[in-house]
Amino acid sequence: MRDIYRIFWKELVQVFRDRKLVFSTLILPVLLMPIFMFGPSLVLQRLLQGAQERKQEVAVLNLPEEALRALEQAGLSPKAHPDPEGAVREGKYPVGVRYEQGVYRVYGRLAGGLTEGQVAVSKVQGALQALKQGFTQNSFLALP
Amino acid sequence: MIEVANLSKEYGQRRAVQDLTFQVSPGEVYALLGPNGAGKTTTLRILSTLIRPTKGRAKVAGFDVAREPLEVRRRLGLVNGGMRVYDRLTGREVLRFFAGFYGLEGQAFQEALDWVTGLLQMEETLDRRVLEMSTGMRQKVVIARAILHRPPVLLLDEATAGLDVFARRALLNFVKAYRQLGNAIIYSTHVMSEAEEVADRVSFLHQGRLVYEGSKEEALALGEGSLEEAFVRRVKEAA
Repeated sequence: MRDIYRIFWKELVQVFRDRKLVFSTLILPVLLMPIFMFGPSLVLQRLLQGAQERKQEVAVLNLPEEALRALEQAGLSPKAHPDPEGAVREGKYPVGVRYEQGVYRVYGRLAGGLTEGQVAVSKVQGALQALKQGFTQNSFLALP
Repeated sequence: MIEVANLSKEYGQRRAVQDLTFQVSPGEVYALLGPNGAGKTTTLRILSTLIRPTKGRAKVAGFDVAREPLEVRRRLGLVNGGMRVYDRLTGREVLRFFAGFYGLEGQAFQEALDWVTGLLQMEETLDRRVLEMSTGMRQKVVIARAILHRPPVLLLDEATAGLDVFARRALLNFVKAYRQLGNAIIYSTHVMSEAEEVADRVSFLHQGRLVYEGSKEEALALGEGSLEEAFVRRVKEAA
């Protein structure tokens, strides 16, 4: 046991007297750890924040007035388009919405990682969801 | 002190050492001479229990190297030219580290340290890191490490390799001083002039075989005053 302790002590002294080794094994990881832990999420957060603040154009067809207002309030810019789905497919708009027989259809490009299109889609979905909830609430309140 | 009888070492088909027989007495420097690849290092590795012989036997201080390796190691010091010690420890720390394995701690270590420091005149190395030492100073630490437990048998294998003239001289002086203390020394080298200076008896090794053994004076007479000449003549005769 004493021999093991002796070898341990020798190795410890050897390591702690090697400045490069101490830096690369102890100090460098402490410096790099926060960068790897918080760096990507900070970058992502900034990207999302930028996309949230920007006003994205939305191709719309047959949307009622209240839906258009809801989209504008959500930081979107609705533009009338005869074929929102086609416009999104062609990449002309990041998101499109069609209203038909009481149903909202949302078209968006979701593939390819986190893109501005996804932010725009989530904005549209959020706005329409809020509209739906408001409508449901008003309907309940109007009940005798 | 050292008895080697019919010692052989084979690596597959290759015979590194063949039928080697010699003795070394206390207070004697025995020079093992030969070119690179002659079998000198293999012989010393067998004597220091690092490898086992294929045939024959060898005893160090009365203990068989194959059957009682730990007893042999307690009585043996080994130094070779390429030996390294831990770079970032001081000379004192290196010696304390190795002394511990021989049970030298506390007062016993201090006494051993004082003795070896005086013998090798290495006071300046004790508190300096090995990394900051000259080659000669490092070699002193290597030697001190080997003799700290005062072994009666010392094996030196090309111990002056890479040393400058002063360090080499210091090492040769140390060999003479260690012999004066009654210890048996095997001095293995291919530098004949070193053997001329320190050896009492010499042997010539060629292709794993002992082609000559005798006193230094006899060998010098054989080579008309030159060990190198004696070696060349003996090798030619053996061939």
